Amino acid sequence: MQEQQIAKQETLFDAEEMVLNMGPQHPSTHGVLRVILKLDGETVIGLDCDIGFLHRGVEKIGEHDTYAMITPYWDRLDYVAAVSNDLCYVEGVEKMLQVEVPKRAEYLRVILTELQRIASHLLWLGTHAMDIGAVTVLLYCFREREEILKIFEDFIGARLTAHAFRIGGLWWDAYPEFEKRVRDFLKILPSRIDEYETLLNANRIWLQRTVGIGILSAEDAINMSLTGPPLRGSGVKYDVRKAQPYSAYSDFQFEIPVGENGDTYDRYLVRMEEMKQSALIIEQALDGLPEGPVMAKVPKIIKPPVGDVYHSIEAPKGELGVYMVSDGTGKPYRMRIRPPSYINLQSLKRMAVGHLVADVVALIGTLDIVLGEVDR
Amino acid sequence: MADETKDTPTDQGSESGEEKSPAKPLETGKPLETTTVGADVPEKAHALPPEAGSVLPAEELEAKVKAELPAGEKVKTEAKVEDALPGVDKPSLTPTVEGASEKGQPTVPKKVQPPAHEAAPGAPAAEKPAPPKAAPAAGHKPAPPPRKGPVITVDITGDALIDRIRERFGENITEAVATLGQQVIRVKKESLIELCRFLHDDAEALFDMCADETAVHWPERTGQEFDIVIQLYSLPKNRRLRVKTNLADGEPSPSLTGIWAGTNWMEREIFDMFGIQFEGHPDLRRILLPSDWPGHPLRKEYPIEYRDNAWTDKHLEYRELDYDTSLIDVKYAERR
Repeated sequence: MQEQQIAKQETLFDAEEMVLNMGPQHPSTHGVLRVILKLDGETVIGLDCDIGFLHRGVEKIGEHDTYAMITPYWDRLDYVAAVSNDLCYVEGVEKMLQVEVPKRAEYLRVILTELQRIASHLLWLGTHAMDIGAVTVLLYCFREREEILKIFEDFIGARLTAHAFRIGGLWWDAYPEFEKRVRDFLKILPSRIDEYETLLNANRIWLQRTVGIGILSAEDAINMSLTGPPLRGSGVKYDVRKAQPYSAYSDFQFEIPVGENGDTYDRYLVRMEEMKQSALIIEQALDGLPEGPVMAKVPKIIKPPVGDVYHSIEAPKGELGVYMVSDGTGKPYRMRIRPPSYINLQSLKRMAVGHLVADVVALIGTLDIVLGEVDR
Repeated sequence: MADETKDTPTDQGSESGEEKSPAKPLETGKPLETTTVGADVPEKAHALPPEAGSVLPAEELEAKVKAELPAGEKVKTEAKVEDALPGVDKPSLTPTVEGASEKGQPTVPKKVQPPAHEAAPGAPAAEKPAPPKAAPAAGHKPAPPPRKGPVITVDITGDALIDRIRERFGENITEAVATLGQQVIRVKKESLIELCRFLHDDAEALFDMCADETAVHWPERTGQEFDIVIQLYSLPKNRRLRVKTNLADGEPSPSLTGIWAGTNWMEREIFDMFGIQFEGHPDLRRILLPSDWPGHPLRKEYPIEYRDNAWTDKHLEYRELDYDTSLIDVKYAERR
């Protein structure tokens, strides 16, 4: 509605509208996103996203693989938060099978998932800041992200597409130094987050590029199905971890940070606070880490009962969901992925119209999309 | 060497080493069977070699070579008997092994018992294990649906909101069940928009977010080939509800973009993947696939290994310049 009206309005000085193509090979589009902009001078008056360059047909592949075989494909959806993706799928299947995962496995899952959230947010912060001109932050962020990836590498065997979880629990128990290394990382993290905030929070350029850019009201954000930090930045206190706790999240105390104005700066603040909260969750999980097995008894050939189930988790990008239909055989009849990046990206048009071309770069950054998940 | 190998079986049949030679084939026969079949019953190992192993070589080779072989050559013969024996034993063993591989590994332990009874007859031994395997295999498939099926899906009773919806929409609500505690209502297509508007606005429902919208293809359900599945979430009430509706193939679905703007891209994706049209959608185009892509991939009849060479030829222009595309295809085929 709103953008149509703006698109119809005549341009200033009766200048010609200009159509500008941005991407798919543009460094600030975080992958292969193509944005077609309609410009009046430097002001965006229309916008269309062209996606699908990375489409691999994961949902179709899911219909032809057994339940256990599908898990690695989930690592490759949001490839900067592979562990979170696994959690969603694995818990969805466990829900169908009505398998109860051992407590220790759930705690370890929470630790790994929250570490992944921090790693994902660090990557977001570094690239987002670099897009707007603060190159220094990227190097600082990668320093801490590297620590997390090293912990993953020793636990799971992979840094990026970490195939962390199995249906029913974990394949391996934590290695002996795991707890110490995570605690060491948590010790340095708060001071490092302070460093980023020192670099950015009162930085004049940063404030000019983010404050008041891409304002979304709470009603709009809800109506557009936004989830995750973009929704919370608009002041809506919705977090799947709190609203409908999964795994062991009901055991831990943490706050849901929310913004006030719904602009790019608020979304930045929300993510920074989320990292601190994640660190708190990890600390609680390490303190209460129970002993015991890490794998439940799961049949080797997984055949969930006939029916359908929807399961969603709070991934770093938003609500990541899986809707699975089982016909009683060893392969899902239908596997639908609810990708938060894809659905959040819709709001780019609403946010960008009326702003300058340079702000589109900031807005793509603030949505924190990963094209592997958008295109699936 | 060929002569020697022919000679060696004579040791079994030849009466020269009466006591030792029949004993040795037995010994060699045992490890052969235990290695191939695994934990097989020893009775079978005893029973089989005398039948299969003794009959042929004994008759043929008894007459040929009787007293020629000295006792010193027995060492050689032992090793060669092993080579010769499998050729004789295999016909009796392999059918059972194949039978196990056909039905899958879990049936192997069950198989150990039946051969104990059927040790003597060779051919029936291979046939008889099959029926007990076929019976549990047939029993496995029908078992889960009746046992687990009803457990996860139950009718909703005593839920205030669902009762209100039932009251208001009457027969247009064809189903209201809970699968694993997740509430699902199925509505007729005609009243989908009315129901969604009610769910969005009603003070007791307040489903202000459409978390997801997707479709499922059921090609064998004639007249209602598609399910549109909508995942609703209510932030104020913190509850979820799944709304489903049936569509026939080719029938358009009402668009929900007027109620939840977030369904815009979800419906575009359904159109892209299933070919379902949405009435009232502001911008119904393909979204993930190219605009001129033939077919809709998530329909069940669409093959998973599908190569559209025509589309690729059209869009990769360098092929049209220098290459004969049929040649390229041949090269791919050869590589496979």
